Amino acid sequence: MIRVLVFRLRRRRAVSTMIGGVIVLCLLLTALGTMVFETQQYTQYQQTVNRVAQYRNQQLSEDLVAISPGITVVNSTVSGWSTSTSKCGISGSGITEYNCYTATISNLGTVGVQITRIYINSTGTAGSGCSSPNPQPCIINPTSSIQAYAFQEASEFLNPGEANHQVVLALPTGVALPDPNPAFPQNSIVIATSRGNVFSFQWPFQASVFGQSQSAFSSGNMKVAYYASSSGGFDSKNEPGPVADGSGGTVGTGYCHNEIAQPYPAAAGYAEELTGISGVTDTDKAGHTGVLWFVNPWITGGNYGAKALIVCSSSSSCTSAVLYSGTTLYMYVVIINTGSTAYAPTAGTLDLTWYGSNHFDGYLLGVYYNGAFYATAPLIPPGAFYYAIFQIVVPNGWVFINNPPWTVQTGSPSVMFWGAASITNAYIESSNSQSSENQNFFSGTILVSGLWIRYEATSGACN
Amino acid sequence: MMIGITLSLGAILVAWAGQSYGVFSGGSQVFFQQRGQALQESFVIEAAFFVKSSSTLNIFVRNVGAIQVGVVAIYVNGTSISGTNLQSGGSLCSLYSSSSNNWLGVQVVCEYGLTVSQGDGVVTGGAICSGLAWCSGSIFYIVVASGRGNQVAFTARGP
Repeated sequence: MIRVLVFRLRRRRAVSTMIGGVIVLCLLLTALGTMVFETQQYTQYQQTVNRVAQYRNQQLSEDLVAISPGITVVNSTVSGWSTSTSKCGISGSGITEYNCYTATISNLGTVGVQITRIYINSTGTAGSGCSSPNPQPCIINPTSSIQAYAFQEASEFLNPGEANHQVVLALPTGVALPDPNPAFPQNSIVIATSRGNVFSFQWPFQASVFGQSQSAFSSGNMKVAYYASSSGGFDSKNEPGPVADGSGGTVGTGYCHNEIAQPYPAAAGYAEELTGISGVTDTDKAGHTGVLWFVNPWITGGNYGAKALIVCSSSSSCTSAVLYSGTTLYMYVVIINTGSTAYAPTAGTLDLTWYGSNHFDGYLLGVYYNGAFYATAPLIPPGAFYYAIFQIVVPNGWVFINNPPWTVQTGSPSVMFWGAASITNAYIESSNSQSSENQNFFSGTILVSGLWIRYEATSGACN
Repeated sequence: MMIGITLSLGAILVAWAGQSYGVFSGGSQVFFQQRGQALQESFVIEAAFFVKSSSTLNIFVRNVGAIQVGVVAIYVNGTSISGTNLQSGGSLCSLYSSSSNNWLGVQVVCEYGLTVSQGDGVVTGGAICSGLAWCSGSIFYIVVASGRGNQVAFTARGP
């Protein structure tokens, strides 16, 4: 009897144990399933985290910089964008004209970048550029066809490391970005990318003087003057177009420039009249003495006249190049004191170079500051600008053979040369200088774009 | 009877454990889903401009993330911008509401017009004018918040 009871009890215990085992197994399986599910969830989450981390890395890897001169004006049709009825800087019957600019940008980052929008905010004179009453800021979006407040859609992508990428943007003709002379930045350009980064630059550029905090060289602002100290030489006073006092000439009357003259300080693109220059005896109609007419370093006219500023004896090499008898060449560059202390520029030189060779030498004649010429410069306070006027020497035996390039013209003159000249090895020495290390070098920072000086083997042109 | 008791207790235990695991799994799923969405959400204030003629501070918010964003609040110097302080009409956007369902799509930029009164004087050193007054030099600390709990900040100085 007892045996039977024990046996039955053992059987039931075994059944209970089995049931308990099954229950525990169920619990374990449920727990395992939950763990697997959790692991899957966590893995998915971790994948998202990794994806976002990668995205953040890409965001951090974007790096766009504007390349000097930052922005240039476009006066032509734009490949793939302008149509026959809408063009940049070109007016005509049935043509919608736009003010177009090219922004030059380099991608220094390690990822490709998509520009999604450009904002331009202008300061300065009211109504100029992207300032009130014009839209402020100008919001420029990518488009496939040219329209106002748009940039070329095809140029919105930059490859990693891509240099000098050009983005053409169009504004209405009533919105011209201010480009003051001297070059004070008056436009803030903000470039927004698809990853949410924002890169900005100011235009016009203000380049820095190497290694000095005392002053800065303002690029893109220089003009040239030439003055006849004796009969038979040539004067740039005849270069500007019709001016208020009637002293200028016209292209039609045989002059190379046709810029309108303005007194100091003239805006960019105008001929500029500086007075009171020591050693210059010209007098204008207002009675100002010592007048030099500074014109922009390019020639807008065609094949006029029969004289030349520089005379050479050969059509392929200028072995006896001289300025025309009695003519002196001047050039000024704009210097801005961006330092914290005042200083007086006391000396300076520059080389004007074409294609790395064939340079002219210039030395600092004086400065033009606040409307007056100073052979001995006053202290220039921080934030102020002045013109450093250099006198250029064209040496006898100046040689060029296809460098800078020259071309044969029909008629007279027979040959002219042109090119992008750069100022090299230039410096301004200041009153604060105690040794040569305090000289403010600005070598290699400027291009004289499109400088045309006519040349003729026999008789000259372009008075 | 023992077997019955065992079975009952087992069933209760399994049901309880299953429910607990289910709640835990469901909760964690929601957590990971929401965290994942919040992580994928990314937006920036890419520009801010003061417009004197309309006494407006315009900010441009771009969605640079992988999913759409609901901008639910904008704060300027700690003050929530809503009602008349947030301008509407034209190309301006409004805050997200479930009724209007106005999500900010991927790569879409939205312009919000914040009304700022033009105050007198000049302030320096990172000071602010009273409230939302715009003085020259005054600082505007702008925060844009999304429904998923993300926020971006932008500091603008009155010109």
